[in-house]
Amino acid sequence: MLEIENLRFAYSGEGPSFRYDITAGPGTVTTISGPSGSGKSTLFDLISGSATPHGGTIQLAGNSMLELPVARRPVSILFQSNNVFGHLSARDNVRLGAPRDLSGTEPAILSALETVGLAAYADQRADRLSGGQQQRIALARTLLRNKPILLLDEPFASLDPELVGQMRLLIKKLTGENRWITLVISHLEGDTGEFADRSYEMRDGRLLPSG
Amino acid sequence: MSRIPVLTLLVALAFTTPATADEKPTLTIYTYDAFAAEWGPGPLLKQGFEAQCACTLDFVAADSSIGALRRVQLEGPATKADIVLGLDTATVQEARNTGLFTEHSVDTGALKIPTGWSAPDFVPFDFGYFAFVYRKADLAEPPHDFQELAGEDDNLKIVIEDPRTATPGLGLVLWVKAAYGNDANEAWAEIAPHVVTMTADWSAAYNLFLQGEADMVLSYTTSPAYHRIAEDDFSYEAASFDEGHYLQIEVAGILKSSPHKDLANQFLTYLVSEKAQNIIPTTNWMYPVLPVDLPEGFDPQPEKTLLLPDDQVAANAAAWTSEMLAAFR
Amino acid sequence: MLSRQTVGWTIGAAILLLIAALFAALFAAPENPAAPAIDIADLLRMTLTQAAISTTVATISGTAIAIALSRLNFRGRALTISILSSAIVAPAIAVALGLLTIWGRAGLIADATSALGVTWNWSIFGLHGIVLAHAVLDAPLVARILIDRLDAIPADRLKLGQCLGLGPWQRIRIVDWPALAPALPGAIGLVFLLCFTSFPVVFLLGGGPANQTFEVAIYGAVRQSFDLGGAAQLALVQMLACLVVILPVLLAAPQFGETATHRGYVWRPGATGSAISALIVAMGLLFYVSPLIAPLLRGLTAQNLLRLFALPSFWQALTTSLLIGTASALLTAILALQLSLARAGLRSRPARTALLLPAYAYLLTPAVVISLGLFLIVRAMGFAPQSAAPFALIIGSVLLALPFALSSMAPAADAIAARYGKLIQSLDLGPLTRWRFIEWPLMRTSAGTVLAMAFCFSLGDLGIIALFGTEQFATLPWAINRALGAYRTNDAAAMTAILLVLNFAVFLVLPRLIAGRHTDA
Repeated sequence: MLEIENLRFAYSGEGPSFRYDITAGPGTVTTISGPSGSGKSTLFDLISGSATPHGGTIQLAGNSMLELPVARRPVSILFQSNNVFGHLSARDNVRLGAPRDLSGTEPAILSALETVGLAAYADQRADRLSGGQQQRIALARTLLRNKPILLLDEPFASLDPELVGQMRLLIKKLTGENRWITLVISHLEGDTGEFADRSYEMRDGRLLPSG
Repeated sequence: MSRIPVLTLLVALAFTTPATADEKPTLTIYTYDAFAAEWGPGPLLKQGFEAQCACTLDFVAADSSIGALRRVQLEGPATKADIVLGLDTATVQEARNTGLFTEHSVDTGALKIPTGWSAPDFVPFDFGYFAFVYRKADLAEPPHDFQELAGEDDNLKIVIEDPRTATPGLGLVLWVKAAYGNDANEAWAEIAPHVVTMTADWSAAYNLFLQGEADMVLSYTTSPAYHRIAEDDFSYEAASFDEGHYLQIEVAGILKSSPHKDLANQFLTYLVSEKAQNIIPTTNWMYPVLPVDLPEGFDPQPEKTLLLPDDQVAANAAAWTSEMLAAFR
Repeated sequence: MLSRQTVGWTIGAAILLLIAALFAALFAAPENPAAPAIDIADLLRMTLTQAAISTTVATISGTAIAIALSRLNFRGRALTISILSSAIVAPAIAVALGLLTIWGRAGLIADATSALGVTWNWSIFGLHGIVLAHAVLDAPLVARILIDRLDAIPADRLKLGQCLGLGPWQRIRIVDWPALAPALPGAIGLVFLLCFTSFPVVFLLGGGPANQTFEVAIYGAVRQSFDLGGAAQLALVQMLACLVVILPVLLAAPQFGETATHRGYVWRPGATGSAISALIVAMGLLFYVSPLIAPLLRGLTAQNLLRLFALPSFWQALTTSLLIGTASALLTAILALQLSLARAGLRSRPARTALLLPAYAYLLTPAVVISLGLFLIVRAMGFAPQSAAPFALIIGSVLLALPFALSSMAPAADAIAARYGKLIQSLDLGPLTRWRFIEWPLMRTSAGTVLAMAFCFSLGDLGIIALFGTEQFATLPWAINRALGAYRTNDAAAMTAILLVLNFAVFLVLPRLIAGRHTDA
């Protein structure tokens, strides 16, 4: 269970300030919507450790995450773009998700690529692949990392509508199988429907359940 | 882009000196910069000569005396120069060979120069001796000849000038040649380890020495006098070498192309007059060619003088320079 | 109204013509058959060795500084980057002299070690001294060029890498390298060229005939043996050698002086990584700044200044330098602008290259060839060198600064054409409207950098003034040279300090004044 309570952050100067309260369980997809600049991505920065909150708590299974450095947080994160390193092959991009001391990762990499349907492209340079394929490679890497929390920051925004449907199914399936706690920032209509187990919305600097 | 013409006009205006309206002739002298500088002999000589000549005297400074000669060579017969002033014993033959200079009518009989002077085309106006200058505090027992210098501990460092670009550097080549003749290459091999660097000109070498990069610098016997008189600093000395010191005589010559040869001769006569010679020691820091009283602070001249004949120098300077450089490769 | 292309091609052709005329003037001049033969193969070997070692050291240290700087976020980081960029205008001779006061036999380090009872026997003269000076001068340049690329890495990419827990080497290989790789050839090419044609550093620190560059040999051929034809030949060999090695990479030129784009995100490494990064940046700054501070401390004493300010020749030299600098800066900016705008309108790649080629070819022409050629041309045209001196000085500095100016302005003009070209066409804007509302606002930052750089280049010139300078017409560097030639070391030190202060003040302040509130645009 991921529990965020009274988590506060403000940009220096006269920027807006934000407050977040949210709970999400393993195997569920939670969507977060709101206008741009409303502080959605800031929440992800706080969870992943890219930003430091001014107060409040983030707990995973009862343990506080705030003290952990970025690299040790139990989090995988995916953005709208820039999720793969263009000059590396698909295989090497996925390999970056493997724990460093793990040997014999080859089969694991290949099976992750198979899961996202891209085993045939293992040795292609990532920048030769389409936007949707790149997102799926990033997802394969997430699979290999297998961290409890998956943060998706507008992952479908630059994809074709038909691809979006496939991606949703894939994410939903992987979330369930791996018992991930998946948070998705999106303002696509469809994301608040069947895809989401719960939905939140940023309003006036606060994160509130929608509907 | 109408801005360009306006700009050029402004710049041109800023640098154009107003033309003099009077009919006085102008005598133009090409020389090296330190001679013409506001602290050099130039301004005082100009003042003194203009008071007696009903003319205008113009010094045009090149970066060095050889630079002044090069400029005349580049300009050819169209040159504005009437006189080139500042050539020395090492370069005078080269200047002679250009065929650009003419004989003078100045009486040089009364001039006191250690080796004498008889050339009909150039007038000597001051002279000096090359010497290694050091700080008394750093060097209690300076070497007394090249052999002692070579035999010093390796930590004793000297800075010299490149003979290809600087007069003192060439002077040192001639000095060693005059002292050692055919053994010069061996002398160079022994001196070389002490040479910390070879600079392009005198000023670079002297400043490295002043900054403490070397114990001795190739300069002149008169250098300490500058520090004593101008700076009231008595810590510098010129090492006296038993082999003798190589002489550098500075000369001036009249160009064939000059339309003012009479005036030019008048100036050279003035240049070796007592009045002008009194100006030289404390402005150009060289010895005067007349036996005028030297100000306190000047050391007596070295006892033994070395000088190679002009024609030998002109014929062999390149080969001797290569011989010297070979020791540094 | 002339089309922009016509103006551009005319400028290009004029520059090409001038270079041809410079060489023609030298070849037409009398040769000296008695001049000692110069071993070109040996010279080429010495120059290439020196340039290769210097470039390697400067590139590696510069890259390390850039990477370290990209790991840090501290107050004064922007200033640090500005200081590093100022290396492009740092007068090499001042740096070389400054290095002596740090590393020399009587320098700071020697003092410090002797206080500890250890003798400092390392001599700065020789190949290693040259390499050290080049590293000090050029590593900041490399760092400056590369830090822009690192700062431009998208924030998402950094967060992702951090989240994946990439180690320090992995980060360099996977995240930094793809950003650095495209900029490296240009940076290496530029540094190689600067080291290959280096003159004052090799002159002062070379230690003698064992270390030479073409520039030094050309100077010798002109000054001592008066072998102008031989000098022109050497200059041609130097140009060809540089052309073969450099031009291909130089045309993919790096940018100078642009203020860094906003960094999206700072990925701070752990405590050890941060400490190492801070140490590298501090060392880099120390190496670069210390030789510049030393002459300031030595020169800027009340006693020196009072003595200097009483000299009329100082004020005259200062005024001349400022006037010439201003004229050079304006002319450089105008020419660079015309060439950039003309180029931005061209489609074909060969044509785009050809338009800038003359300006770049100038970078390879030795200063003494420029100066001597101009002198001969002026003579041939029947002018007295004294009256032509300001123009020769301006032309020389402008052409020296132009390639650098173009590398800043051309990409800006290209960006406008790529982004707004169609829109501008559809709106049918006249050239003046287009200039006033679109090009000037978008290019003024770059224009500020160009003006400052050209001003400083002109301020530091010692090559052209060496033939045109007289006691009536002197610039600040020329006045310094004169003072040094007459035992007046204190005057020289004070003027060097003033030159340095002027140089860095203009370089750091002018671009900000001109860019105005558009700095952040």
